Order: sequence, then structure tokens, then C-alpha cells
Amino acid sequence: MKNNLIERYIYAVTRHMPEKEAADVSKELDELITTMLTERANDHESEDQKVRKVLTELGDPEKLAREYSGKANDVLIGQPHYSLYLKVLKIVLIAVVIGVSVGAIVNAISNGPAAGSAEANPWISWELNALAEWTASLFSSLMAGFAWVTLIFAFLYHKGVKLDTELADLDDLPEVPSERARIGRGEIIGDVIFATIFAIIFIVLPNVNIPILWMSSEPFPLFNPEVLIGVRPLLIASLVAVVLEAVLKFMDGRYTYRVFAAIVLTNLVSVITTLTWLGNPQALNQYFAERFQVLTGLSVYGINGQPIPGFGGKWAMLPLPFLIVIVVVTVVSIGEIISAGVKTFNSKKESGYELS
Amino acid sequence: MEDLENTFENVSVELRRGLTNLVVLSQCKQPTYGYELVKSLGEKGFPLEANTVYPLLRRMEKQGLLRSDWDTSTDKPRKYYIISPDGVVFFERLKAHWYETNKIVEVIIEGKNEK
Repeated sequence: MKNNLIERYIYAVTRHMPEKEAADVSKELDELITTMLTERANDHESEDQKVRKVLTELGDPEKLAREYSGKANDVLIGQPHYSLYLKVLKIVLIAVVIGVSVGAIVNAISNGPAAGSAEANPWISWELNALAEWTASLFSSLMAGFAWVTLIFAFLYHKGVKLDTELADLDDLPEVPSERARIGRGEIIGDVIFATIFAIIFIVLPNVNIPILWMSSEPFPLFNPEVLIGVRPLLIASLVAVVLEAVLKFMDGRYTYRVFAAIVLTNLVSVITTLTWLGNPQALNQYFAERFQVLTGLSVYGINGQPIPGFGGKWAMLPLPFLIVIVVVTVVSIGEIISAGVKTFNSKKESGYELS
Repeated sequence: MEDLENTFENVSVELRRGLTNLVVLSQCKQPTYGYELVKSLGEKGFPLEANTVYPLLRRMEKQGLLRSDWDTSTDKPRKYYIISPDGVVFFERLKAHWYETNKIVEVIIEGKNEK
């Protein structure tokens, strides 16, 4: 007489197997269970109790199924693939952040605000659009990067593809960590002092900002307070990024992945902030421009009122120092990211063998 | 100490795991079925659970170390396993390797032949 419990147990073991194998294993298990029951023929228990004891002895059907599949201890990505997976994943994700961000900035600049827009301040909506686009494409690109790297490594691991991760040559051993991989306290304190002054002048006191005392009977701010107030969220974001970077630098004391991530973030935010603020033709106080013209006979916009060569659209008629600051900030930021990246990945390589 | 007890369990399981193949192969010179193996190895002091032996026999068959046949002559059909020619070669090699390792380990852990 077939016992329903036995059938269910066997089904639970074999249901994910290929048909032919499932049939064979079913037969085999049926024979095993029958034999085990025969052993207990003389026990003073009901048939049902015997079946339960035998099946309990055989254990969790899922576990038995895993034993049959030969993958009892299998994982999505195991060693040695896992170590390389983590390394590659980090590099890919960092590359995605940098790539998408640079792309978004270039794209936003080349598009510029819609000409003849009816909006009161087309630059604000331009920057918000750019920010939204950047966030969205960053998110989807990070997801795609993560998914692809994971899929590829899971495939390599399960196909048993060999990795050439062994040390080929003693000379390939990494250098002992150098002084330059460490971050001094002085650098951190400098960052914090700069951030504090920056915060007071531009975030807390936008209506005063940099007072010009000598051009008029009364002092007036160098920058347009309205524009400063408009970019306040970005200024605050920059401040938060700088503080976060300083805290992480202080905690880790050297170039770790998270310090590097913070440096990337700070530089991206500061580039976006600079572009948005100083890229706004209204950023300079109109009154300053007028007084400047009166006192020197020169226009502050472009090069004495002429478009700056090599730049198109509104960029050509920005005050030249603004444009210089924008270019310098962008170049320095990219340089800082690259230099921090080099230090981070060198010091990571180095710390690798301290542990092993 | 419960912790060390646990560690001992884990380490001894690891030690036996590799030997299981050797022991099971040695018992397959004559046609044998899974539960018979479970019983006889248990009596000989190398207890293995049926839920280990059955999948193992199947895997070894897939690897070409064993062959199998259903015996349907009785009213209870049974799957009998027997070692294959490749399995014999594999078994002899593994056995030699085990003796050799055993000898070396004994010398090392008992401190024999030391200056």
C-alpha cells in the first residue's frame, strides 16, 4: 500500500530534477524507504509512526535534493572568483559614477537653458533638470553595472572558469605603504576651516557675502544675493560633502575606498555648484558691474564687453574671472579625483599583503 | 568546553569526508545496494547516513567510478552498484595515496625518525 507521506517526501526531493533522473531517484528512494520500513517491521508502532520515523531519519528533503545535485554547499559566487568579483565590482561602480557624472555635466553644459524661455529664471530649471537627469542615470547605470558584473561572475564561477589570480612573480608583490597614501591632520583642518568660512560668507550671509567698500559711499555685496539664495541648496550640499569627506579622512587616516568615494562626491558637487552659480549671468551684482564701468570705463562682462573666444552662448559673456574660476575648479576637481584614485588603489594593493 | 566539542565535531567530519569515497569504493567490488552499504559500514564502525550514501553512489556513477543495474528478479526491485574498471584504477590510486599520507602524518605527529 502506497503511503501518501512517502510519495510527498519523494516528490519533494525529486521535483526539480530532470525527468529521467527524477524517475530513477524516485525508484531508488522508494526502495530505500521500503527497506528501512521492513527493518522496523517488528517495532510496536503504527505504520504511520514508522513512516514518520524513517522519513525523519532521511532528513530535510531539500537538503537531500541538494546532495543529489552535488551542489550541497553551492553559492552564487564562491572563492576565488568572489575576491576578484569584489575588486571588479568596486572599480566598475566607481567608473560608472565618474563616467555618468562627467557625461551629465558635459551634456547639461552643451544644452544650456532653453533660449527665450518664458520662465523667470531659466538657469534654475536648467540646473534642476540636469541634477534630476544625473541622479536618474546614475541610479540606473549603477544598477546595470552591478547586475552585469554579478551575472558575469556567477556564470564564470558556475562554469568553473579558472582565474589567473596567482602571484606570477615575487617582484609583483606590492610596495610597503608609502607616506603619500596617508592623510595628514593638517590637510583635514585646512578643509574644515575653508568650509567654515565658505559657509558663513555664502550660506549664512548671502546678502553681505563679499562686501565691496571702496567703490561707493555705502558698502555693497560683490555677488547677487538673490542668485546666492537660489543656489543655497547646492551650497549646503557642497558643505555637507566637504564635512563628510573631512570626517571620513579623520576616521580612516589614509586613502580608503570610502574616503575616495567622499572625495569624488565633494568634487562633483562643487563642480556642479560652481557651474550653476557662477555660470549664471546674474551671479555678479549688477551694481558692481555699473560702478566698475563708471570707474574704469571697462565692461566686466566677457573681455571688455566682447565675447570670450572659444565659448558659446551665455558662457562667452560671463565675467572672465568667473569663467576662469569655473574652468579651474573643474580641472582641479578632475585632477583631485584622479590623484585620490591612484593613492586609494595603490594603498589598497599594499594593505592586501599585510593581512595575508 | 562546548565550543571545542563543536570544533572537534567539525574537524572530524572534515577528516572523514575525503575518506568516504575510498571506503565506499572499497565496498563495491561485489554488487551492492545503498542500504546494504549503510548497514555494513555502520557495523564496521564507519557509520554513514542513507541520505549521504545514496546521492554519493549516484555521483560516483556519473563520474564513471561505478556502474549500476536494477535487479528486478525479486518482487522488490533494487539498484545494485559495482565498481567500474576506471573505478578500480581510481580506487587503487586513492588507496596508495591514503597509505602514503597516513605514513607521513604518523611520522610527523608521533615525532618518529627525528634527530
